Order: sequence, then C-alpha cells, then structure tokens
Amino acid sequence: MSHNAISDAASSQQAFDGRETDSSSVPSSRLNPTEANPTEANLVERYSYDDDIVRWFVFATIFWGLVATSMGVLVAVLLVSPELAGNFRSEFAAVLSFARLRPLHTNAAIFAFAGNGIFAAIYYSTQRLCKARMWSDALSRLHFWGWQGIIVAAAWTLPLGITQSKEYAELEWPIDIAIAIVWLLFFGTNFMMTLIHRRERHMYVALWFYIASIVTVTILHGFNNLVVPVGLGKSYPIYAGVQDALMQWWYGHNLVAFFLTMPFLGLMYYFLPKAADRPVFSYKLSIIHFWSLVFICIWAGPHHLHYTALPQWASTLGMLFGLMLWMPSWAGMINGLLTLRGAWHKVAADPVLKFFVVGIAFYGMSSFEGSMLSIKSVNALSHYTDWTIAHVHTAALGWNGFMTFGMIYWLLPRLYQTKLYSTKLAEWHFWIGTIAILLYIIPIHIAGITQGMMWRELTPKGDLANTFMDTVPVMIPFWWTRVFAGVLYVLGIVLLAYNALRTWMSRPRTYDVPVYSTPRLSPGYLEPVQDTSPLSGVPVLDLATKIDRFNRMNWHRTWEHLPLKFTLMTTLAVVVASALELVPMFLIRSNIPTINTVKPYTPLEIAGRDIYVSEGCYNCHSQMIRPMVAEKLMYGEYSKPGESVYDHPFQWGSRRIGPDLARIGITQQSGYWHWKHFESPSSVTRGSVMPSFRHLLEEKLNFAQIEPRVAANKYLHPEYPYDVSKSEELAKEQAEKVAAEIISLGGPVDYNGHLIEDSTAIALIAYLKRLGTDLFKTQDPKAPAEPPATPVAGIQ
Amino acid sequence: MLKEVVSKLDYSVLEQIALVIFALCFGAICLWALTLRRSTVDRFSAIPLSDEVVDPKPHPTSNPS
Repeated sequence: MSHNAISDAASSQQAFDGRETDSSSVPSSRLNPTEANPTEANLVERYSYDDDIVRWFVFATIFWGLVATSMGVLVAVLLVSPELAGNFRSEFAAVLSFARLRPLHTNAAIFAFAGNGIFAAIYYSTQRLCKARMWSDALSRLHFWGWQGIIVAAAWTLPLGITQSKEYAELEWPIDIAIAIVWLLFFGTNFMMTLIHRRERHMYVALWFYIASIVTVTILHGFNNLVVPVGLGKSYPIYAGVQDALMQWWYGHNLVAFFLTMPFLGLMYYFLPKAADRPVFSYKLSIIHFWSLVFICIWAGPHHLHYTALPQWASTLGMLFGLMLWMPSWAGMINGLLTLRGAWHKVAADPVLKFFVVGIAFYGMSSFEGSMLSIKSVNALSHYTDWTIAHVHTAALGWNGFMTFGMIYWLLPRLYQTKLYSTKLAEWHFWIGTIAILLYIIPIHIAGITQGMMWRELTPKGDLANTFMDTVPVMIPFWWTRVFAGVLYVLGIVLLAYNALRTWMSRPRTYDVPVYSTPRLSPGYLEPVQDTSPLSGVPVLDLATKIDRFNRMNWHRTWEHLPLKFTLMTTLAVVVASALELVPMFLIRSNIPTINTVKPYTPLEIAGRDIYVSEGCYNCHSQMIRPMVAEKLMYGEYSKPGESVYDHPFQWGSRRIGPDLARIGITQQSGYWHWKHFESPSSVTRGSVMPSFRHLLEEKLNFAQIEPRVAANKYLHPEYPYDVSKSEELAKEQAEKVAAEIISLGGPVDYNGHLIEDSTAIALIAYLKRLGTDLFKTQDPKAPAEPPATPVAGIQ
Repeated sequence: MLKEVVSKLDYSVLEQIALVIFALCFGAICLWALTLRRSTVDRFSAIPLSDEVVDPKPHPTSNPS
C-alpha cells in the first residue's frame, strides 16, 4: 500500500497544506525511477485530506434528498387532489399549485440532492486519486455555502412564480450568475488546481468524468441562459421558438448526461472498486466508455423534439446519436457489474454493494430505454405522455438515488471514524427503496403507454375514439399508486437519515487527521516511452514502422497526464459537436420559414404570456401540435416553425397532463369560458385535474410593469410595431375589450372589489385568445409583401 | 457575401458528417485503448485501491469493554 509512509504525526491532529517538504521520509526505492535521482524529485511532501467538506456535502445530500422526495410526494398528491390547495387562501393556493411546485421538485432532486451527492463524491475521491488535499479550503467552503444559498434561492423564487420556464433551467438570471460563479470559479478552479498540484502521475478515469462534467455544464449553463433582463425577477431569452427549443433541449439532454450521468459514472469507477475491493473489470473499456459518451451525448438533444416544428435534419441527428448512446452506456454498465466478478458473494451481505448493483442495473435499463425513446416512431407514442416521467424516474430514483445511497453508506463509517450504526437499517432502506421504485415505474409506464394509445385511437370511420378528458380518469389510479411509491421512497431516506444521525452520534470526540507523505511530481518528468517496435529489423517499409509507433499512442499518454490539455480536448469535442448542431439553426433561414401573418404580441398579450410562464402552465400543457392524424383531429392544424418566432421563451412543453393549447385561440374563443375555467376548472370541464386559479381573478394587473417588458421585446425584435411608450395605454384599451366580451356573455363586472378589466386573468385570457390564430389570418393587402424563404403549404 | 454562402449551404448532410466524425474519433480511441500494455492498465486500475486511509474504528456499542 502506498501509504505505508504515513507519518507518525498522524495522531497529532495537525493538518498540512501540502507545502511542507521532507526529503528523507520516503525511501528512494519507492520513488518513480525518473524521479529518484534529481534532488528536486526526492522532495517528499506531507499533506492531509479535507474530509470536513465531504461530511458537509454528505449531510446536505441527505437533507435535500428528504426535501426533494417529499416535494415529489406533495406534487403527486396535488396532481390527483388539486382541490387540496383550494382549502387555503388564494395567495397560499397560488403557491401550492402543482405547476409552480413541480419545478421545485425537479430542481431540488437534480441540483440539491444529486448535486450535493456528486460534490461529496468528487471531494472525497479527487483528493485520494490525486494524493493531494483540495487546493483551497476557502474555495471548498465558498462552494458549499454558495451552492446551498442557490438552492435556498430556488426554493424561495420558484413557488413565487419567478421562473424562466425552461425545464431544469427555470432559475432567473441573478441566480444563474451565482451558479456560474459557484460552479466554475469556486468549484471548477479548486478542482483543476488540485489536479495540477496532484502527486499521482496518472489521472484515474473517474477524474476524466469529473473534468467532462465541469467543462460541459459550464458551457451548457452559459449558452442556455443568455437573456435580456427586465428586472431582478424577469428576463427574456435571446432565442425564440425553434431556436430556443433546440438550445433548451441541447441543454436539457446534456444536463442529464453531464450532471446526472458523467459524475455518477466517476463515482461508480471510484467507489465500486473500493467497496468490492476489486479493480475495475476493464480499464480499457472505461476509456472507450468515457470518450464515446463525450462524443455522442452532446449531439443527442434534438431527440427530445421529434415531430415538433424542429427541422427534420436536426431531429434525425438527435435520433441517430440517441440510439448510438446505447452502446457506451451498456459498456459502462457491463464494466460496473463485471467489476464484481469473484465478489458476488459479498453482495448478499453488503448493503453498499446491493445499492451499487441495483443502481447500475437501473443505469443500464434507463439508458437502453432512453435510446429506444429517441427512435422517432417510438417517440411518437411516448412524447408528452407519462412514459417520459416513468423513464426519468427509473434513472433518477434507481441510478442517481441508489448510487448516492450506496456511496453514503460506504462513506459514513469512514467519515465519522466509527462503525455504521445499523447495517440492518441500511438493508431495510435498500429493500423499501427497490420496492418503491418498482411501484413507481411499472404503473407510470403502463399509464404513459395507455395515454399514448388512447390519444391516437381512431374509430373505424376515422374519427377520434377518445377526447382528451376521456384519458384523465384512466390515469388517476396509476397516479395514486405513485403517491404510495413516493411515500415508501421517502421512508427509505428517513431510515438513511436516522442511520447517519446515530452513526454521527457515536463519532470520536476528535477526528483523526492522518498525514501522508508522497514525493512531489517532477515537472520535467517524461513518461518512459517504449520506442522499440516489433517491426524493427523486419523487412518492411520505414512507413510501416512509423505507423506502428504512432499506433502505440505514447503521445496520448503524455497528454493524458496534463490536466489542462486534457480539459481542452474534452472542451473541443463538446464545442465542435454543439456548434455543428446549433449554428446552422441560427444561420439558415430555411430552417424557420417565416409566415407573413404571424405578428408580435400586443402589450397586454405579452403581460398575459408572462403570467402563463410564471404560473408554470407549460408543466401541464404543450403548445405544439405534431403532424399526426390524431393530433390534428384533436387540436387542429399542426404547428409550424414560423408560428413561434416571437416566443421568448418557447412554450412547447414536454408533457400533457392537460390538452395542447397551440390552437386554443381557435378552439375556445370565449373569454367568459376561460374566466370560469380559471375560477373553477372542474365546473367547466368535468373530471379536470387542473387546480383553481382564482387568485388570477382576484389580483390586479400591474399595468405599469408592462412597458419595460414591451421594451425588451422591442429590443429583441426591432420591427415590433407598437409604440413602447404607449404600452400601458394600449394594454388598458385591449383589457377593456376583453372584459366587455366576458361581461356581455354573463360574466361579472367587478371581482374582489375591482373591475374585471383590471384583473390579472384578463391579460392571460387575451394571450390565450390570440394563441394559434395568426396562421389563419389574411395578410393586410397594404402591407409590403415579403414571401417566405420556403413556401409553407396551406398557409397563405 | 459570407451570409449568402452560409444561407445557401445544404445542411441535410450534417447527420452523415457527424457520423463520420464520431466514427473516426471512436476508431482512434479504441485503437489507443486496446493497444495499452497490460501492466500499464493494471497499474491504472489499481489506483483507487491503493489510497485507503485507515480502517474504521470499532463501534462503541459493539465492544463494551
């Protein structure tokens, strides 16, 4: 073991920062041959690991794991019992809506639970793989507290409706800036500097996964959050419609790949061999696994947008690479499971290995399913249904959850320097968690497939067999099963929290901080090169010998030792692929054929759209009719790319708990219907699971806030036809008209002590009445004719 | 001029270009990985196993003495 040279100072509780040197404590025979001679290379550095920061992140992981899963149970209950929120005053009911809390659940699960989990894994393993303390304790602590602050900010703003409405990127721009600072400046810098100051020559493969994660998440986060701010809590993305959708799902898919997969694979490659006491099955396979994922993942985003208004070439590209992801994913799964060769008997007795085995199995299942779902014909059935939700939870609960739990159970005795309080409780957690996952994913898969089949079912005459509302009651029993499964999963985490608490309580009064001694890496070190070729002396061309030498790829070995160059190459792979996919979408006009009758939103409609975004309507309603017979019969003419050119952000959605709204302005023209629907959805639509939005009727619209929002839209679209300085006036005029129509149909004149024309709901109704109508308008003959770059059939 | 050229390019071949780039990179990586020496690979894969800190102390309740 390389740490036989642990200094006697281990018990002195003194921590070293790695800068103290001792040239005598390590025999020269243990040094690398090339380092044994130079005086500088003989210098031995003494250091200790910073495990405090790992303890903090482990605590935060358990805490936020409880919060995230409890929030999941809450939104699952609100989905089946929307009337629950109605028991509260309207301002509380607004906060307690499924649509506002669902992003809180997803953000808490991804960034708070999984995020803190990967930080715990990275801080523990990086120090040991580099044989170096983290470069800066201060940056480690800034990272920890900064990240917790961001989570608290998310928990504060999302329920208040402060959101960008882009899935997993909902947080508004001030928090986005904080994320960039904490992720890159605090965490990224600290990690990279630790790599640079490491004392282990080879960067173990787990570190590669961490590097890829840090680099790519930075790029994704930066580009997907480019916005025009209007205030502290509101902004508009610089992209619109198709471009915004592609950018968002380039981000969304790769966040899953580089935040929820790559770091967890790094975790697997480090903690699984430790727990099994076996080296990884195939290091060669892990290399192929890593580079394949880096090259493939980044292309696959568009498969989240099959059959939407996205151009065909992008969709095909996404499908192709989504399908290819299956192979490297399974390479990783096989590598993980075969690491346990000869150690399967340990799995029966060790809950840590149980969590890891099942977690890796779920990785294999969910990655296979993900590849299948990227096939267009499969996606045609699955998209917008609960199938996607089941798929996501297979990965989140099984892969991310179980790998995190396995790691925590392995870490607890080591971090707290005592035995785990109860192995039996850990076993219970494992079995309860496994049953919970199965109880979740099996019914929700059935629900999703049923939903998809019912939506597309036609009668022999070619009519729709079901209305959208026919499918909702069918879902309810499955959704209740999910509530039960969620409670079980939370119970498992409660057991973990109790086990961790009791383990912590039996910790020693003061922790041992062992001090290690390792020779410094020589800056002038060169990898011993095996320059002899088996072809030497063989009667072949010189060229053959040169090719053989090149194939030995010693150049790669050298490069692999250089973290900055390695990072640069990973960045290059990600950037080139992203650019090839994204740039054409922004440059080629034919990708988004313009439609002359599609005009910018009026000031009141912009205000209404902002309310739509703020209330999180996209969480249940799509605005994208796919070119399929059943969808056209149910919702109307399919959506065209040119229809959403003024949509900042796009609102295509990713699931349909309620029906699509892309043509709601055509299919439901009554403002009074919308008014009553917001007040009590089930009184208008029998069996509706939409909660009441009474607060929109009661709240007064702040007309003064409209002008800066219109100004931002004018900035993004200089051709915006309305006078920005008259925004408030124009909005009031339109509100009067919308209100008059509602009153003429029997609606109230005033509500909650004010005229209904001042209600927030009026703006939202104005927006909904406009949705999907422009396509069918006749162009003003006086307007200058500008033919679309590519003719759109049946529009003009 | 550049805008004109770019806007007239046919991007329908991007899938094929992407596939070729991927195939080349994948081939090169496989070649490199598969030509690594056994001893090197064994050394690399043993790295996580050689950084053990200390064994956990016995649980206080498990050893009353």
